[in-house]
Amino acid sequence: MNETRCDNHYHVPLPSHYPVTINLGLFISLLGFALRINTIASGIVLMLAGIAMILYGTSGWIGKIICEDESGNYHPWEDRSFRIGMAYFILSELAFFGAFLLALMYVRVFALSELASMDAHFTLWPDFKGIWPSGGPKSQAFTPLGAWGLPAVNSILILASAISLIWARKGLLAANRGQMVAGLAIAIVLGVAFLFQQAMEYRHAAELGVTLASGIYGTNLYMLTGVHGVHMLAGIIMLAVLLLRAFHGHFNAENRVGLDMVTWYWNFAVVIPGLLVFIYFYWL
Amino acid sequence: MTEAITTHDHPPAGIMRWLTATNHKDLGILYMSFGGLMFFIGGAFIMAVRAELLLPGLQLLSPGMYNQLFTLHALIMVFGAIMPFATGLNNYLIPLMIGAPDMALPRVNNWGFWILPFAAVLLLIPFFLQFFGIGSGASAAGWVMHNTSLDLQSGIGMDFAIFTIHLLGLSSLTGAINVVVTVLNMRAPGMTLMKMPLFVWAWLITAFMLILVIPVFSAAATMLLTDRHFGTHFFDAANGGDPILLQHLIWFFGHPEVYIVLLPAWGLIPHILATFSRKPVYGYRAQVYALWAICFLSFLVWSHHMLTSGLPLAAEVYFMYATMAISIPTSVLVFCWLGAIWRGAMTFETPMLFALGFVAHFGMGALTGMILPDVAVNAQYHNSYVIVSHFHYTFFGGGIFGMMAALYYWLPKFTGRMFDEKLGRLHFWLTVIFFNMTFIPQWFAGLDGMPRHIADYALRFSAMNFISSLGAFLLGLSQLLLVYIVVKCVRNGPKATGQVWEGAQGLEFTLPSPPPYHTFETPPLVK
Repeated sequence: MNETRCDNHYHVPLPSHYPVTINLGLFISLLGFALRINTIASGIVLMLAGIAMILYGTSGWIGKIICEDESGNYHPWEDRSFRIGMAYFILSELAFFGAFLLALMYVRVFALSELASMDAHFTLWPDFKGIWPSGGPKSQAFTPLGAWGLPAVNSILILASAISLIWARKGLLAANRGQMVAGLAIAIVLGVAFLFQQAMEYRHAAELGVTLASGIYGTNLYMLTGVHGVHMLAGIIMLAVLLLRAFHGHFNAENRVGLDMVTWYWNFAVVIPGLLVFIYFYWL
Repeated sequence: MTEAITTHDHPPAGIMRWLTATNHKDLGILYMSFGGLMFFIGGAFIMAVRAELLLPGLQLLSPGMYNQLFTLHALIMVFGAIMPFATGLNNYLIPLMIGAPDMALPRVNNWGFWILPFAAVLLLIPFFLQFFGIGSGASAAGWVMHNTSLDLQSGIGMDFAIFTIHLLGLSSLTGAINVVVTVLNMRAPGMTLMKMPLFVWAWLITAFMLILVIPVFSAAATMLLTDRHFGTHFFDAANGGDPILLQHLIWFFGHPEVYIVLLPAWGLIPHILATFSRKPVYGYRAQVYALWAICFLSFLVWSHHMLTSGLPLAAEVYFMYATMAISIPTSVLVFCWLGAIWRGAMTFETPMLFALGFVAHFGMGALTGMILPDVAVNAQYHNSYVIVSHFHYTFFGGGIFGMMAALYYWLPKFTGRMFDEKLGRLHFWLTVIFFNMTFIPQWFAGLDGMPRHIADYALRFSAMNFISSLGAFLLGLSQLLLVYIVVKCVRNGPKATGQVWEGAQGLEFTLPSPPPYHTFETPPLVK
């Protein structure tokens, strides 16, 4: 381990007001949200103020890290902390996705068959078959979405974005900055295209009668793709920051922890969950 | 511009020092103080509950208010008192124990702490709003929302509780990631994994569990929120969902959470037993492996909380045996603790008393935990006061006794001053007597059939509840002594040496008491 500790001095940052600002913003926006969904107050001012504070705190914090990085405060020892931290953060994101995917599995394997297997004399839904895709006994009628239209194209798009990021990283390692910038830009374009197509898919779903009123089928469609879409949006913002940094001449073959971490995030917390949603919700 | 003149040796003055703290010792003290404050707030809530239960009939509280109070007591004690206190200990002690200059991600550390006060306020807002005629009060669904149903008890309090869970989850997650990174990346040269103190090991394993289960709880809370307000159907049988799914998700979090609360205490007990027995830690390797085994098994046993929920018989039998299997690694730990004091030159200072109290009371909680997963027995005891007593023997007798032992053990290290030993021992004996006076009667009431979560009860349970309530009031009062002891120690206790305790071992005892603001800026060499 000694070779990773340049001069045996770990950079301990000075006191910072950004974390507590973010927390105040989180508190205010959630308070506004809770008041709003319970129609106690409009809460919109609180939510906007809170979100503004979160954005200010996050951008200030990340900006500070970038400054510290570029002014040579970080060595392989600090980089290793960031990498381990990111790896475990991604693990927790996978656990979050896993909960939604396991909820889908539970419904498909246990809940629907249980509902269908009840004694016909007692249930309110004697004709219910309980075969996936199904919205449950009381849902409105709908046509299930096919896998080989937009969803398949979208899966190819995110796979391509993963490859393009790996290509960008190869470019950086080979000191080919053009390749890095191009790879990042392509990944961003592919991500935005994905989100755009996802919106098309929602419109298509609504035409087929798949809404939240289509029981557990609609619930899973919109929650799985929604949670994935939010992560993708976060990933696109991260990639955009990387691209800006690349234009400013940041990163080189030794100092590339930011690029590596976002690549991991994109490939493991955005691409893989997206593919799992395609396989287990649309296809199988 | 405060930042321009702020340097490492001169943190900002006044409140800004604490708001912007990145120093692990400052944050550790903040965490521990917050945990202590919440311990008394959560205690105050349960005093009202016990006052209602003092006599049969409804005297003080409406049933709805009663449900809110025990829910707040549970949430505050678990997520506000024990977990933050344990996190404070890890913040203060892990860098000292492994010879690191600080936690690996100091600003993330600050982030994790300063979520907690906001989360606590968010949880309590609906409780106070109800007195102004707004909403129906705080959440009344129990400590992991296990009494949630979509229509009942679903006032605004549930939404605030859901957001509180999101915030607390963020706090625990950032704290856990920080622990993992610190332990894996910040150890001094020569401090191999198998030389780490057991407290560090226990926290590393706790952090793994947190990283894997906290997101599941957040996901469950999110599903509950969207089901309640945005028209999804995860837990709605008519639309193909299943209310049992919610139970699976929250207990998949809820069971590892039990070990998350206990593991830090299990890690620090061997330190204290070894110190006051003047012997090395007994069975170090066995304890590390046992902790890992418990971590692994804890993910596989959640449905023993649901044995009366209507699972298939095969599942019930599996969860029964899997749960009982946890007693194997747990016994390894208990026998290692007993091995540590076996033929030791023991002295009984306050930390040692609390550590031994921990072994005895946690032992009772653990033994009853062996009986409860039995499917047939559980059918009788489920949701009775036997359960209440069982988990208080593990959480109070285990978690709180462990935290008290740690507080007395390291308080001279934190403050540089000794506490009043006589008062400490008095505090211990009062706590033991009144704790048992509170909870032993609950075994009998529970075995007799008294259900939990009710504000009123049949006359046959009167005597047991009367004794239990008196015990609870006295237990609460005797904890005020702790405040006096800590304040007296901080203000004018006699100076402590760096070594503090004659038999104490570990890197933190090679430093002066209190340790300087920055320690181990150059890593020590561990042989």
